[in-house]
Amino acid sequence: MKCSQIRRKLSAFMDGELDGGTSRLIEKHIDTCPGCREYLHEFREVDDLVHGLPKIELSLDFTSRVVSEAVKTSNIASRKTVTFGSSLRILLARLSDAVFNLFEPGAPPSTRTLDELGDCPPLSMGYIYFKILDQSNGG
Amino acid sequence: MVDPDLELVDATGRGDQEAFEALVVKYQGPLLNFIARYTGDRFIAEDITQEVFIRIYRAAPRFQPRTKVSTWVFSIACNQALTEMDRRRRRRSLCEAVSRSRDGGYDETGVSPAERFELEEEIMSALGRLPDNQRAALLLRVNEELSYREIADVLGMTIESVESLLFRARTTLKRHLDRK
Ligand SMILES: [Zn+2]
Repeated sequence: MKCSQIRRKLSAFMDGELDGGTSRLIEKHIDTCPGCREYLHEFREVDDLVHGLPKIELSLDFTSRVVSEAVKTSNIASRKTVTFGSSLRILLARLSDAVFNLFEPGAPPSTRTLDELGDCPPLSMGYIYFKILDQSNGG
Repeated sequence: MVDPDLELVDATGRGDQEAFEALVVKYQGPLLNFIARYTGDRFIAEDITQEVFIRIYRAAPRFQPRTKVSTWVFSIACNQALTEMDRRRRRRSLCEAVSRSRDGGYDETGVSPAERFELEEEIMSALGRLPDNQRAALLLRVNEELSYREIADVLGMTIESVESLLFRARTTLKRHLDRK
């Protein structure tokens, strides 16, 4: 393998993501090639620098705040779900989704479809509609 | 191999607050630091981290056990951070008149005030100039020690793409650090 081919593989090599054969080939090459050895060394330096970025700390009450906030907001969300007919909810969610997409043309498509994000902006916007409806109907 | 966090997510999904708290305690530090480095703004990182946990709590009943919990957690974090970065970029392009320096984050071009932060700032700004997916892949690999398979799952791409992203990220940073 040429140096340029070896270098393309050095990143995966240092991550231990190459098969045994390729890995041994690279080991043998860098034993005899100072240029590629230096290349690998610099890749490792990059990793060390990124890894060495100082850690930041959370506020002391973060855990308790998150737990109570999560419980509180999801109680509100489930109450809304019970209050309104699901067909109306889906219709409104779709409508708000369409409106939302007008403003979010650059949204990454691969990540928007994740199941766990079913309650991401589009549906949340739907909930805002319910809230408005809720208030105008007097609860 | 059984994922030790699976039980915690399961219990969280059934409304067990103690299990949820254990999950928060386990992931809050890694998530905060990942998000701070990914967005380049430590001041909004805690708010985004909180939002991520709220999403985790709500999505727990629908968690698919074929996914690894850590992979799932980081994919929610990536999405939430991206949403926030998108929002800020849009807001910035709408109100260019607003002072850039006040906002912090990666788009800032100001000079570091304190010398001891210089190197840190240089790395952060070099990181910030990488495309989002390269930066995410590098942070997940170097700091969270995720495998290529796991990174591929978090970012919704193939292992080959992850390999290429990491190679390009490291090459760019290497070149940048060479120049200083
Ligand atoms: Zn060589």
